[in-house]
Amino acid sequence: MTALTVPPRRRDWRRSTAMIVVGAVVIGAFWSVDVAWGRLGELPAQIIRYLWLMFSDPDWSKLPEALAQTWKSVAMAWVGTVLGIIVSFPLAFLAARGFSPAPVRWGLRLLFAVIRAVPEIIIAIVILSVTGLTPLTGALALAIGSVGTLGKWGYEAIEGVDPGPIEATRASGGTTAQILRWGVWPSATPDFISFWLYRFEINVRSSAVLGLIGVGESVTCSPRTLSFGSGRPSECSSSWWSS
Amino acid sequence: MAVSADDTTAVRPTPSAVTVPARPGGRWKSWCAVAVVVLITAITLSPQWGIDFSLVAIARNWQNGTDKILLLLVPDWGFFPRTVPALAETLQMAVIATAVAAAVSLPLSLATARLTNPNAITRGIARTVLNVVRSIPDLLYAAILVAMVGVGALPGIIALLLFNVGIIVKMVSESIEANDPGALEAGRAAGGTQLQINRSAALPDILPSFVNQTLYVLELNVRASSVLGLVGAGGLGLLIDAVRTFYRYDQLSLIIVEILIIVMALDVLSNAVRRRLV
Repeated sequence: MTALTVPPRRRDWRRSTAMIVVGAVVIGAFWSVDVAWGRLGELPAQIIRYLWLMFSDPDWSKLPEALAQTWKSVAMAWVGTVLGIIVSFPLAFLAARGFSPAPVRWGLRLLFAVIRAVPEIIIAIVILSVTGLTPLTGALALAIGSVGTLGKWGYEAIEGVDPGPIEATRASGGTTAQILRWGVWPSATPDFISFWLYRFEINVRSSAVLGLIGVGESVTCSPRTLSFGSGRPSECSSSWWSS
Repeated sequence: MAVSADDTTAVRPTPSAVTVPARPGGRWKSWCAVAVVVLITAITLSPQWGIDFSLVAIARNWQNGTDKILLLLVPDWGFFPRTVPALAETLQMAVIATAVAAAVSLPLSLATARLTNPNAITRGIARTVLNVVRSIPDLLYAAILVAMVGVGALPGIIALLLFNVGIIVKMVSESIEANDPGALEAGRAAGGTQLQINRSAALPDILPSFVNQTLYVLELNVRASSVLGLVGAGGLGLLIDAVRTFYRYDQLSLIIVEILIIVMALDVLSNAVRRRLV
C-alpha cells in the first residue's frame, strides 16, 4: 500500500491579513478599554446572592400589578406591530425592484436603514415630547422601529419571489396591481407572516425595556429598584416570571 | 394558486367555453384569522383594557413635538469632543463582547445541534440553558449586572455577551441541522470520534454561517451598547441619559447621527465581507 499524501494546506494571504486585522482590533479593544477586570472575580458570588434574593422569596403580593404591567407591555407591542405592518406593507412594495421608480426605491431603503440604525429607546425619547409618558409613546416607537425591519425584510422577500407567476400574470395582460396580487402575494405570504410574528416577538421584548425611560412602565420596577436599591429585588422576580 | 376571471381574459375564447374552476375551499380560515387580529387590536386600543390610543393627545401636543423635531434637525456639533470617549467605549464594548461571544458560541452551537452532539441529555441541558439566556432582554441583563459588579463598561460587556451567545448559538446550530449529514456520516464510518467528526466535517460547513452571524451580532452590539448606558452600563447611553434629562435635543441628535454613521459603515463593511465569503 502506497503511503497516503496529505494535500498541502491552501494558503490564502487575504484570509491571513483579515485574521491579523481582526486580531489587532480585538486586542486593541481589550487593551484600551477602561474596565476593572478584578470585579469579574466577585461575579459568581454575586450571581448566587442575587438569584437567592430574587427567587427565594418572590413578593407574590406584587403579582397582580406585575401581570397588569405585563399585559400593558404586550398590548403596546401588539399595537406597535399592527401599526408597523399597516405602514410597512405598502412601503415594502414601493421599495422592491421593479414596482416603483428608482428614486422612490432608494429613498425608502435609506429611510428603512436610518430607522434600523436608531434604537427604539431613542425613538421613544424623541416622540416622548408629543405623547408624554404613556404606553402610546411606546407603541408608536415600536411601530416606527418595526417599519424599519419589516420594510427591509418585506422588499427582500418580494424581490426573492419566483419570477414565473409574475411573468405569467404579465403575459396574460395583468396590471401592476394584478401582478402584485396574483404573481407576488401568493408566494410572499408565508414570508410576510413569519416576519410579522417575529417582529411581534421582538416588540414584546423591547416593550419591556421601554419602561426604562418611563414609557408603559413594565420594568420601572426592575432597573430602578435594582440600581437605586430602593426596593427588594424579589419584587421584580415575580414580574419576570410572568413575562 | 387561485384562479380568477382575470386569468381567462387574455385567452378570449367565447366566454362560455371557459369554465372557471371553483375557488378552493377553506378561505373562511384566513378571514377568521383576520377577524381575530382585528379583535385583539380593538381590545389593545381600548382605553379600558389596552393602551388608550388617543389621537386627541397627539393633536394637542403636536406643536410641542414639532419644536423638538426642529431642534433635532440642527445637531450641536460643538458637543462632538465630549462624545468621543463615550463613543470609543461603546465600540470597545461591542468588539470585546462580539469576540468573546464568538469564541464561546462555537463549541456551544456544536453542543446544541443534534447532528454534532448525539447525546440527548447534554444537548437538552445546553438547549434549555440557552433558551433561558435568550429570553431575557439585554437591557435587563445590564440592569442586574450593574447592581452586581458596579457601574461601567464591565456589566455592559457581560450583558452583550449573554445576549450574543443566545443569538449566535441559535442561528449556527440551526444551520448545522440544515446541513447535509453525509460528511458527518462519512466521518463516523471512517471511525472518527465525535470530536474529530465535528472538527473536520462539521466545522468547515458551518464557518460561513458562523462568520455571518458574528458580523450581524457586531452590528447589533453597536446599536445595543449605545443604549446600555441608560442603566449605567457604560458607553453612549450614559450621555444619552444626561442630554435627555436636560432636554438637549440638539445634542441628542448629534449622538443619533454618530450611531447612524457607525452602524451604516459597519453594514457596508459586513456586506463586503459577506460577498467575499459566499
